[in-house]
Amino acid sequence: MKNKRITAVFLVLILTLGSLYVLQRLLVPKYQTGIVEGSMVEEYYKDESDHEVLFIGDCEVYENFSTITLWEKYGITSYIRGSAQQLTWQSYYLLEDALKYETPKVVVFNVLALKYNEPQNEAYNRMSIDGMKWFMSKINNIKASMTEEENFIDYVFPLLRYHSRWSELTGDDFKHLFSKNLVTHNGYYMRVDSKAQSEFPDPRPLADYTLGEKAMGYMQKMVNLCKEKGIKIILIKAPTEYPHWYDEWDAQVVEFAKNNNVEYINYIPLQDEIGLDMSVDTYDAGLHLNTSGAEKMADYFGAYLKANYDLTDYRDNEKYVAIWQEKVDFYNAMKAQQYDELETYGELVSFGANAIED
Amino acid sequence: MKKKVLSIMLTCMLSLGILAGCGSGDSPASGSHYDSAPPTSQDVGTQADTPATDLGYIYTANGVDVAVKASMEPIVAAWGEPDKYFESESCAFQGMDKVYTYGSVVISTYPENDKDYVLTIELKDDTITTAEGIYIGSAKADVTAAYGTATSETDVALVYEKGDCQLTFFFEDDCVTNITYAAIMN
Repeated sequence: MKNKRITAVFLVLILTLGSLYVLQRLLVPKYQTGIVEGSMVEEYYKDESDHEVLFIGDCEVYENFSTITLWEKYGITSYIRGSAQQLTWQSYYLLEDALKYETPKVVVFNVLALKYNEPQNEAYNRMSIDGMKWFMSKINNIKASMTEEENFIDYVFPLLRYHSRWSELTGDDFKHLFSKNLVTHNGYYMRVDSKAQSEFPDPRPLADYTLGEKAMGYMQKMVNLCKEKGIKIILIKAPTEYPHWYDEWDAQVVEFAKNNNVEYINYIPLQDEIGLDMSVDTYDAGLHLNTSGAEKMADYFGAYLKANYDLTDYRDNEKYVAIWQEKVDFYNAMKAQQYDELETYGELVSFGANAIED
Repeated sequence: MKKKVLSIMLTCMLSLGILAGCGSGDSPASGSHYDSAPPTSQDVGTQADTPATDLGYIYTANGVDVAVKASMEPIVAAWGEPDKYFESESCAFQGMDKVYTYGSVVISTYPENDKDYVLTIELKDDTITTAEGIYIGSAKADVTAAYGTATSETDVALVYEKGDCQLTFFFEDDCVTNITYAAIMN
């Protein structure tokens, strides 16, 4: 009799936990169509090959550098550990997390996020954190990133946060209940469409141009971590001009780089040298580069990396050639699909905002 | 035995029901910001009779009160098409950030729950004044006379905070060069 009771309790427990697990899997956003940026952080773990160059940062890295061009032109193996509005402390913890799996020769960090010194919003936090594996880096990332409205427990049990998504469930939620497709090319988010850069609003003056202590502190931690591991770190400002990057901010990063003996390159004044034509090389009127722009940027940056850092050209290595050929094929297939859609519909329909399911 | 199976099923269903049944708020990935309910001022609108208590400093022109965190819709309805308009899609489609230019007034907005709310109001020249009579070109002494002691001060600006609004006067040679109302977020 006692055994039966224990079995019954055990059964209840298993059934309840199992149901909750499946329910949670169903209700958490899948980020497979439209808003794919939420898949980026998790996708990194699927890439089992190592990388000599690791990019860290926001959309100014994951939309502006083609990792496939770096491979095809220079044999550089790279990955972009990017996410939407990735804040500086999130970059630090994502870097710390990545270094558990590999030790790249060069880390590249984009500095635009230094403008934020406080947690910003939950949607972006979720996209930058939820996909991380559960280690201390994730716990610390949550603690550093939470807005006042958020609770730590919601990150531990996402079901508590997403339980009301019943009415928003789409086909993707069922289709990708237990498996997800790749949405990036080693972290690069592809967009081949084009929308010419327009006139930007004048930048507003700021009462105080000092970059925040928290943001600068985490950049310092990134530099320290790289130095500890013998990794070179390059600070960059991507070549796109909006949101505005103030000269006063630039001067602080220049000073920081000098004090830490690391390199900082602001690519905004180098647009012409890179070969960017912002009437065709951007898909959203100048905020981000499209694929033709990202390929030009990668070509320019790859040549610089090759000339100044001790990177390996893996194009003679069969193992890497096999790995990267698959990536190149996926890249070309997606590119062809996007150009196809542009020709057929005049715009992308399976990618970007048009693909967001109601 | 049947009772036990029934109780197991009931327990499972109850657990799922509790979790699934409560609330229907937006998820962070739904394309809108998570920030819960917009501030009370947003529903009030921006007409001249808007209560000023929660709104902080207000810029008034053509009979319309413009406050930070207030809905942009009535402003566009009252003022019509802007002279210049710029919009940029935020990363991962969390909405459009918009900038409306009406003569010497530039208003930027942020998206929330499929609506646009005023983020900043910038006064660009001396043809317009704040409700307290300050304009581009006013002396620093006029600003402190009208607004009192600043909440904070930097080398180039006096900053006043009231409600959800941060009002900043920028100076060059003790003369106002720019006036900006900005929403205090978070």
